[in-house]
Amino acid sequence: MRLAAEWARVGGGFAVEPADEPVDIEQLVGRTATAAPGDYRALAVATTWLAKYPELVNVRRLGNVAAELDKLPAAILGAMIDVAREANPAAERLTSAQKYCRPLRNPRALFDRTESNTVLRRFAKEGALPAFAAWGIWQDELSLKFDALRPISWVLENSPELRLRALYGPGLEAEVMLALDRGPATIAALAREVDASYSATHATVSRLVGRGNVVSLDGQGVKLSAPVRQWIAEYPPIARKHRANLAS
Amino acid sequence: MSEGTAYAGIDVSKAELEVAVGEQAWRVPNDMAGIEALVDRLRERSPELVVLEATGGHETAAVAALAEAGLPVVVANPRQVRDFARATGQLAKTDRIDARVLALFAERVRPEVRPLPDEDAQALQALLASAHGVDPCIGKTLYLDMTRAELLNALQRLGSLIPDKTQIVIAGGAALILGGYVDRGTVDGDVVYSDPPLTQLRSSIVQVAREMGLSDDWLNDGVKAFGDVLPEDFEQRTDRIGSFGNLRVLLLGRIDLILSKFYGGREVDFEDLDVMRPTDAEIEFVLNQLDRIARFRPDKALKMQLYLEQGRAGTVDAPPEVEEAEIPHQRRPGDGTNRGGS
Repeated sequence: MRLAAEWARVGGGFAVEPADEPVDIEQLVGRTATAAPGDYRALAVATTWLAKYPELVNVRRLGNVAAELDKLPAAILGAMIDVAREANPAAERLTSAQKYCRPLRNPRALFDRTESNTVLRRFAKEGALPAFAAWGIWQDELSLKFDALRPISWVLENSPELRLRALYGPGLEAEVMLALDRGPATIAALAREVDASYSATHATVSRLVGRGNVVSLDGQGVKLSAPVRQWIAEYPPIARKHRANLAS
Repeated sequence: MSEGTAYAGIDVSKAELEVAVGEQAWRVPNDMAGIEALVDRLRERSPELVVLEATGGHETAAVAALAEAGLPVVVANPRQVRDFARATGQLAKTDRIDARVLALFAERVRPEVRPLPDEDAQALQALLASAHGVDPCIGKTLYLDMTRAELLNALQRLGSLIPDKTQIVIAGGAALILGGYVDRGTVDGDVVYSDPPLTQLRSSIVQVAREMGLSDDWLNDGVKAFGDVLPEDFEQRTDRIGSFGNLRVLLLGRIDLILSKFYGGREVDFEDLDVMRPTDAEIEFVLNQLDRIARFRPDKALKMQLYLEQGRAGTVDAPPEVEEAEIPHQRRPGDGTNRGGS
């Protein structure tokens, strides 16, 4: 239920109330891969989401999530990315996260039910889709449901945590901007918050300062520039709720 | 209020339903479990009238459930209730209409529960039109994963648009949801049989999609070919959902739904079978269809046979040694390997 609510918040067409809290999409993908052996629908929606909105995924963070996964969910994530790529070439950018995924040494069926049933397992193995078989997983069917995802306008309206990615791209810039939305910070504090190296964070902040998105506080760190803060202030109420959640 | 006659008011919010009946007041979550509890408790009181305020669609599921339970329910126009509350001094400091005001409105004004033309359609009519004129367009919400009430809304609207008498038989997840077998949503409704063909309704289907924010294929005949899987007499076992305008909606009967789920054989199908819990007789029915199915999908028939013969859906076997196992020879029609024959 929790997974469904989180997917509903970012546009997944589940008939549940969307989660109130901001969604960490990479963590959500990882948790869905973990739950996948017992949750077909979440797997289908997550894979469809990756295929439809790859430009909103921070590949570095997804790779970090993949590195933390157990063997089975990591392999499933690898397959999810391949299925997404087959459906949408734009999802090719996700492949760099696959370097943390490894095919299973001992192949098995994707779903626990199938794995524990002689007949289903045998049929899954014989009909395994190449995108899954390459990861040591036997699964003969996964239907992507593009009409079960809400349009990007809805996603951005209801998921303010993804708006900065939509504007700045799903990389470190958006992560830094999101962190600065919570208040001014030093480069070192930002680096810790976005889980990046000091030099990478410094370079990113320098670019943002150069573009006028961020202003320096004379050795006391950096903050969002007035125009950016003004733009954020134009957010619909849900964004203010989002900020309140972050503050609490 | 006369003794023994109860009037109920329900204040609806996204999260909760606040209920007042006489001196009693309570709250339930505005979800399936909460609504079921509400219906049970109101049934005990047998209220003369239940009044809710239209709140942009948050009331639809509750209204549908109350109407289906046969309770006299009216969705009131908020302005009318507010005017009533002001006139009776109920809105001294705030503009909030609470459950007690709605109960009082029910008792004093007694808005008329419009007689509905078809008992089966009562829940839908309650959603779409009350004596006080709820907007028939239930918002512009995107019903990507349609709940039962939302699916019924869409069918109701479709029925009001199509000019000619039409009968459809719904299969798949939508049938399970409409039939009350499972409590989940569905992206679309699969029509396994339609007279006239569904293509003739296409413009109306798309119009409903546009009005309600649905996928253009929210009602489709993508499983039409599945009709071959069904026994010839499946129409005799259909369940009637209701007639909505010119649209008569039937569901595939339970035993045929079970057959279709075994035929589908996907993880989601087995999840549904877990919930449906087929009986031994139903399993036997499915086994008796295998010879016929084997004539056009021997692979499916084989999988179904092997699966069913080792146990019911959801049965967990010991860890298999499948690498060494062999699938028996493909069964052929009339080879006598099934338990019964078609």
